[in-house]
Amino acid sequence: MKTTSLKSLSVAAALMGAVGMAAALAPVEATAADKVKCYGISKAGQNDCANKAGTHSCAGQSTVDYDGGEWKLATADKCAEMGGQQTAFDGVNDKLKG
Amino acid sequence: MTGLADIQARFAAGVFQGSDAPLADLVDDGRQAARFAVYRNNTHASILDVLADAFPTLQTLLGDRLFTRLVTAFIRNAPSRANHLLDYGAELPGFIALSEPLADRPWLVDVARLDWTRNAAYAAADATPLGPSALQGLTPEALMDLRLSLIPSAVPLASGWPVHAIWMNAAAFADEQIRPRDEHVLVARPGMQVETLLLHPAEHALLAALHGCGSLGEAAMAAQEADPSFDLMTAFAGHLSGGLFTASEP
Repeated sequence: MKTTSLKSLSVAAALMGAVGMAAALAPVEATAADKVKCYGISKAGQNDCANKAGTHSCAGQSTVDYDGGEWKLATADKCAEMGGQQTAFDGVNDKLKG
Repeated sequence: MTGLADIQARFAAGVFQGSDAPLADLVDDGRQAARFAVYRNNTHASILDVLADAFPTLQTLLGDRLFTRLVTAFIRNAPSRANHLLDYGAELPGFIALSEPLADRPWLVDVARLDWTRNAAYAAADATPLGPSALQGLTPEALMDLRLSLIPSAVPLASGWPVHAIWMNAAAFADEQIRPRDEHVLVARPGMQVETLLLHPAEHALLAALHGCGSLGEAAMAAQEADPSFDLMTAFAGHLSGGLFTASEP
C-alpha cells in the first residue's frame, strides 16, 4: 500500500537521522569490561560485593565512608582521579573524606 | 523417620510455618522452643530487611506495620525456592495481586513491580552497548531490518497507575486514594546506576517492540502509530547514545 510505504519512508528517515544525531551526542560510556575494582571510593552502604576483611559478604553493607577495604567498579582513570587504589588499603581515602 | 531430609523439612517448616518445637523428639531439654524462636525470628528479620531494601516504595506506601504483615504472610506462603536471596521477592507483586486485604489498593501491584524491576536491574548482567558508530553507514533498508536487543537490565513497563510519580515521592501518596493515570517507565542500568525514566507512550511502544524482539523498523512503526506527532528521531538518538541497546543474538 502506498500510504504504508510513505509512512515507513518517513520512519526510516527519522531512524537515519537519529543515528547521526546519536553520534554527535555524548559517546556511550565506558563499558563494564573497562572497569577495575577500585578501593576507597565507595560511600558507606554503596559498596559492591565482598570486602577485603571478609566482615561482610554482600553489596551495600559497608558502614564507613570511603573505607580502603571497600571497592566499587570504576574505570582506572576515574579511580585514580577520586584518590582510590586498585588494591585494598588500610584506613580511609583522605582525598574524598576531606 | 529421622533421615537428614526429614529433619531439614521439619526444621524449614518450623521456620516458615511457625511451629515451636519441630525437633522436640531429637532435642528435648525443655528450652528448645525458646532457642528455636531465636533462629526463626532472626531468619524472618533478615528476610524482612532484604525485602524492605528491594521494595522501598511499597514499604513507604504501606507503612512499616502493614509492610511487615504483608512480608510475614509472603514468607509463610511463598518461601524462597533458591539458595540465595538475590531473587527472593520476584513473586511479591503477584502475591499482592491475590491479597484480599489489599484489593482496594490495586496500584500496589504495579508499584511493587517497579520496585522489583529496579532491584533486578542492579543484579542483571552487564553488556557492551552498541554505539552509534555501529549503525553508521547502514542503508535505510538495513536499518529498518536491524534487530536490536535492549541491554539485560532494561525493562519497559506500562501501568494504568502513576507509578513513576509514586516512585519519585512515595511519602506524598501514602494513605491516599490514588487516581488511575497511564504512565510508562523504563528501568535500565546502562552503567553503575539504575535509571528510572518516565517514557512517552510512543517511546514505550518503540522500546517494548524491541524488547519483544521486533525489528527496528517494526518498533519505529509501532511508535509512529501510537502517536504520529512523536519525535522518534530525538528519542531513538537519546537511547542509542545512552547505551540502551546491544547487538541482537542471532
